[in-house]
Amino acid sequence: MAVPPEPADTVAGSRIAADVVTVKVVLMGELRRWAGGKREVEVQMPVGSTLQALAGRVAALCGPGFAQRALTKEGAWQPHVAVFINGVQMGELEGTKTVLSGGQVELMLLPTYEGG
Amino acid sequence: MVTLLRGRDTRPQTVHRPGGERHESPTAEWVPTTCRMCLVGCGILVKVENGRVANVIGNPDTPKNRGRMCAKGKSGIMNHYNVNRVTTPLKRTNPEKGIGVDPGWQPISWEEAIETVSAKLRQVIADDPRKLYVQTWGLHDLRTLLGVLTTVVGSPYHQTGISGTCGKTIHSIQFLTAGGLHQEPDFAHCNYLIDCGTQIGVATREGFNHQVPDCARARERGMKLVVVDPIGNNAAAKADEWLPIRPGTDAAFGLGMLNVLLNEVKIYDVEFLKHHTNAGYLAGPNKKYVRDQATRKPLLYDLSDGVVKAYDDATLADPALEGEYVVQGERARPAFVLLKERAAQYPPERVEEITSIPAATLRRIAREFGEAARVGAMATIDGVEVPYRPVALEWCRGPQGHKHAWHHTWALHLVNLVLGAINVVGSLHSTDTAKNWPVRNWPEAGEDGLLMSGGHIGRGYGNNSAFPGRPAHKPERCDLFELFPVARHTRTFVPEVARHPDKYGIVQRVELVIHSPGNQIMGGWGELQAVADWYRSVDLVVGFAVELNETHELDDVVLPAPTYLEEDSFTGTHGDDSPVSGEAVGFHQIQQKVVPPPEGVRDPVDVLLEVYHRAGILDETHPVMNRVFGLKAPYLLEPGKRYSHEELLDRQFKSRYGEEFGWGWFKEHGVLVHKRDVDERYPGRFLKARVPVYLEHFVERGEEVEAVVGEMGLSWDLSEYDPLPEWRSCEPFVQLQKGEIDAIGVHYKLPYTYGAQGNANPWIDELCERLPHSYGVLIHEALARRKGIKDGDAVWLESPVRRVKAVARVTQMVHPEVVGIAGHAGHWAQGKPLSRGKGVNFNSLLPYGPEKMDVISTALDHCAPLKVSRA
Repeated sequence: MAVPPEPADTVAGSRIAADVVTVKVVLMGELRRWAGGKREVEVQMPVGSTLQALAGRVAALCGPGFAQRALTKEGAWQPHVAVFINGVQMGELEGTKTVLSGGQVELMLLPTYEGG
Repeated sequence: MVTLLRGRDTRPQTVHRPGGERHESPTAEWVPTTCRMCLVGCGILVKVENGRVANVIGNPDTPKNRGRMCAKGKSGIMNHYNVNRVTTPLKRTNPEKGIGVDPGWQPISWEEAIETVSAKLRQVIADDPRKLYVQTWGLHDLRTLLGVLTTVVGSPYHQTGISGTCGKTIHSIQFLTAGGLHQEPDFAHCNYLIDCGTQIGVATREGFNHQVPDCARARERGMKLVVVDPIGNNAAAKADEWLPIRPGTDAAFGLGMLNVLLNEVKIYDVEFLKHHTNAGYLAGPNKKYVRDQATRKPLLYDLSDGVVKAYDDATLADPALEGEYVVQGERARPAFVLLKERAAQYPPERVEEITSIPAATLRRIAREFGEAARVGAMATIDGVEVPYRPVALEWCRGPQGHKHAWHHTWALHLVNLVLGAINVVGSLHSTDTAKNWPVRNWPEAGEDGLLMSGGHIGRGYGNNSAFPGRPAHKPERCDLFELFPVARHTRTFVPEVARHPDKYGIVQRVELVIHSPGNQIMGGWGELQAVADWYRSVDLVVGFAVELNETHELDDVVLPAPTYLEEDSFTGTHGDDSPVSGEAVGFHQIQQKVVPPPEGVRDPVDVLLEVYHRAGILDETHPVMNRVFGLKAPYLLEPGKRYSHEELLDRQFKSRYGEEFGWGWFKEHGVLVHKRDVDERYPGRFLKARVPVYLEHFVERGEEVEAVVGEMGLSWDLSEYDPLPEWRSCEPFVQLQKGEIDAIGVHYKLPYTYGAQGNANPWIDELCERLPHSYGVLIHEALARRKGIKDGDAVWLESPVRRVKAVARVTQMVHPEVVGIAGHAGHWAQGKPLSRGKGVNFNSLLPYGPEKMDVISTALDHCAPLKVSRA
């Protein structure tokens, strides 16, 4: 499935050079605390990079506390991190294999449905 | 009105249409909405006459209940017209808070109420958002809005349930092994159902208003129903066989079943195990996978060419399930061999000693179940071949309410897995695993090729997955979530940590609690004082309320809430409109207000939006709501604007279903029905992921927890972080064997009560009075004889934390070592005069403390150790 274009409510921030895409990663709520207070980071990725590849780059920028909580030991996004690419939840695209084309990726922690 | 949106097969679904005069009036006179008398959320039609609710019936157009309705649904009218309901904000004037202590309520204005909450929220956000704790129950938009709050401000505490057992293992295990949320059998095709500690298909659980007729039709067709339960309840009454099982022994039963299947009759789904699970993954002496040294991928032995390969090697043709191999200089065996060896430790004779289920019965049931599974068979659904495994071992509340909950439920669930009976025709299904429309969402494989991310988990919800789990670290949270790497939630620990913060090094204290209507103190934990002490420690407890229950008596501010007949919500039924398992249609059903609320009662969503505005965070909630609600242009929420609840609803519906299907369309039609594809209906073999039968990651997670708790000076037995299930006794089991107690108290559900909200309803109360076991407690005639107790006598039930008086119902329909306690009665709140003093509050009998909790899931042991005497 093709990655949708940037939604109207995101700041236009995509720049595509010859071999990189630039992605603005917005951290929400508790993730900001894990990232030492950062609200957003800008990451440049090689063209063709997937959402999964973004995880390591974000972790490097946000520090070990963030990595410990948001990623698995193997460096994958933890299932409890909700990831939206240009406004669409990753599960509606190709999941962690979604190819990035710039724009905005939002990360947030949503409450877990615990039961009755 | 039914609409098949995708324009394909327009043949209407078969629904039950109650006959008689009710359906002779035009549809337009009945308002379609959703019942909220329990968590199921059946579709209903409501008749209004002269501005008052005159009748409530089931809505034939929703697949959830197809026109049927239970006693609770009908009696919802009386909840709505509860003479004791709250219609004005209140604040406490009595600074002393406690069980049975009068709060000294004083009516206040909405302005004072909203400003009180807003001011505290401003302070908490400025100090540390972890001082905010939100508790919700139910499916209304109030819950979604409170979830937005915790996401925005960064509080980790959103408790989306109440019970000390609910969701502890079932949601974790479902995501882990099938990708969905909850579970139910494919009744339309199931031929053999074992209900283990659940009354699904007869009296309780999800959607039982379709499950009950579906199960009945299945039984007419010849499905065998076996109930394994300490209580001979409604389900046992309908069963072909009832196997009374000693409480806390489900793991032994499950392992016994596995032993017969794997080692005696040798019935299991080889193809499924080889190619769709990690049964072939090689494990070394340290119980961990043998991994490729370069890629770290788990290795398997390919019988087709005798080569050791990674799980995703394109040439892997025939993974070995048996044998022993030397890999990287070490002895390695397929995980399946280890599973068989573990099961072999549970011969039926040993299982009989533990469970009291005769060995011959276990052997026979296991063989029957295995043979009924039709391993290797295929069925054709809409021209597509799908595996046919018409058996289901269903489990839920009973087995997951134990000190060793994870092992009890994992052992039971494995019985389904080894037969390949998950998410296929006739088998147990994981609800809402995958969706193609209107929101595409499929679970996917992650590390080690195993299912890692759940599929459709509902907009607005996250997923604390049990795989691969989270590395443990020193906790900062008041629920010690960091010490339970595979748990879905750990709310059970909150009162414990509040009692002993220094023991756990938790400096954070919760200062603001906001809760929806619900009865946390009666149903959430055990020992009442521990719970009350926690609420007393909170600066400001704010509760939305329809009636003032026992939990509200610990509030500081009460905000009147509408009943479900006065409230709008995007979400209708449970699980974000989970389709019925295997069914050809999906649907979306709404909740809408049928009558306006009384003067003084406001829409909780509008109240919260005002609070968020005053707390200065409203604009920050919009980006989160845009994502959580799945809003798309041009329906996105813009900064600086304010929206009413109705506007939010309209945008959600149009974003999801298109401009034509906004809130107005849904208000008129109530439910939208659409067709499902075969892969959505039976996703099992369409998942591109393996599922685990061996929990290798438990080894490492357990080691990590051990290191952390060691540094903290805690002495925890972490041996349960074992890749394979094991039975372990709980303390009440041992006490009973030693004769230190008379019986184990076991809770069970009634279909006409739910949670702790039903008994104040005069119609439900009348039912409970007329059905004598509702307020009474079941005592086996042998125990009664020993104690000189006759039917109807007053008795004392004494646990280590409480002594209660009850009415004995002497019966054979309970395990001889068990006292059966039904429903959620035993109320004391002044706001529930009809309920006070009737029945027993089961949870209040439960000892509470870390030693009573499952070290993996934090489920609270629901075996109540009891001494029984005549009063």
